[in-house]
Amino acid sequence: MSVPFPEPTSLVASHAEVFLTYLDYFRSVLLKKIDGLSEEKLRQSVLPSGWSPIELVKHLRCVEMRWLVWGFEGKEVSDPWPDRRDHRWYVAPEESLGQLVEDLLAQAATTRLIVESHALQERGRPGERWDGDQPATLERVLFHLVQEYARHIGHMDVARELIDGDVGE
Amino acid sequence: MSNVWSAGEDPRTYGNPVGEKATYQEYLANYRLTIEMKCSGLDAEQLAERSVPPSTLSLLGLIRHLAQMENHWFQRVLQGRTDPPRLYKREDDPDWDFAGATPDPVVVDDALATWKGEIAKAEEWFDTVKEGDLGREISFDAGTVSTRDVLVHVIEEYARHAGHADLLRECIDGRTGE
Repeated sequence: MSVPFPEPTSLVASHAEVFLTYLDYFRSVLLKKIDGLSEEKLRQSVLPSGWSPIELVKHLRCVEMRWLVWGFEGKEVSDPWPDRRDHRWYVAPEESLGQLVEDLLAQAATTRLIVESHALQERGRPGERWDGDQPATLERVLFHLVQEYARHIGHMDVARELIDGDVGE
Repeated sequence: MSNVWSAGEDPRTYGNPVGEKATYQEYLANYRLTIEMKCSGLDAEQLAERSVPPSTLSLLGLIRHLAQMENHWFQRVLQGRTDPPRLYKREDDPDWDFAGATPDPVVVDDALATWKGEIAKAEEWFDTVKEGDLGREISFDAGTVSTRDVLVHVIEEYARHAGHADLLRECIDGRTGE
């Protein structure tokens, strides 16, 4: 699944589609950046802060779930933080990359469905995520998600280059 | 994590901007400040350090690249000012923004002043843009771009480069966060 970069000059159907296309693009870059890494490299950190590529895959799926399902839709989620343990990112040894990628793509489909069924100006439903604050609009949520993905992909760009010198967009 | 900025030092705002233009303005302002924070307290040697080898990325190279990027989108594309030469591009070296990032205080001062100059020009122009004009299509190259799509692009480009800056800084002196 390779998604071309959403150039500002390419035509898109709507503002919502711009956000969705960026998210599709970043997920495809993420998968490209982890492609070919051994189990060892996937679960090992190349940085003092200690995060590993496989943890990033799980983290981004959870970020998407927290913002759109737990947040915007206001749904109850029994454990909104499965990517975290003792204030650090966490992936159990028995969690496989294949499963985590499948989960990420399923979350992506959920995101698309939610975005396509609401207007960008619609506010989220109150729920635990907002902790009493006024829920954000869908547009603001998507904006946040796009820039959070972008920054993490920036992390993965550098991590992959540190691992084996592989570069590219 | 260690070495994070204390809350009192963080110059960024986390308001609740109302409307599309205000949202773009807040994200832009915060990312520009984030990059500046990532560079703060470092000398020319550290700013030019290729701290994540084999990459040729450096914080100084990023500043030069971001100056070029601001100039490209805000001046050349959105305002059609294509006469002045591209910043930090050389015919013999398309990656001069990164390649020319040498540990020389003159190069550092030039990069910071150029980047901040481009930011000031971009802000001055954006202040004049009306909320209702964000969807306006502008001719560029063979096609068109909307102001909105350019702004979203600039912000995601800043965000991805902030991700690069995070790790460059972590590998220079261990500082993370922000």
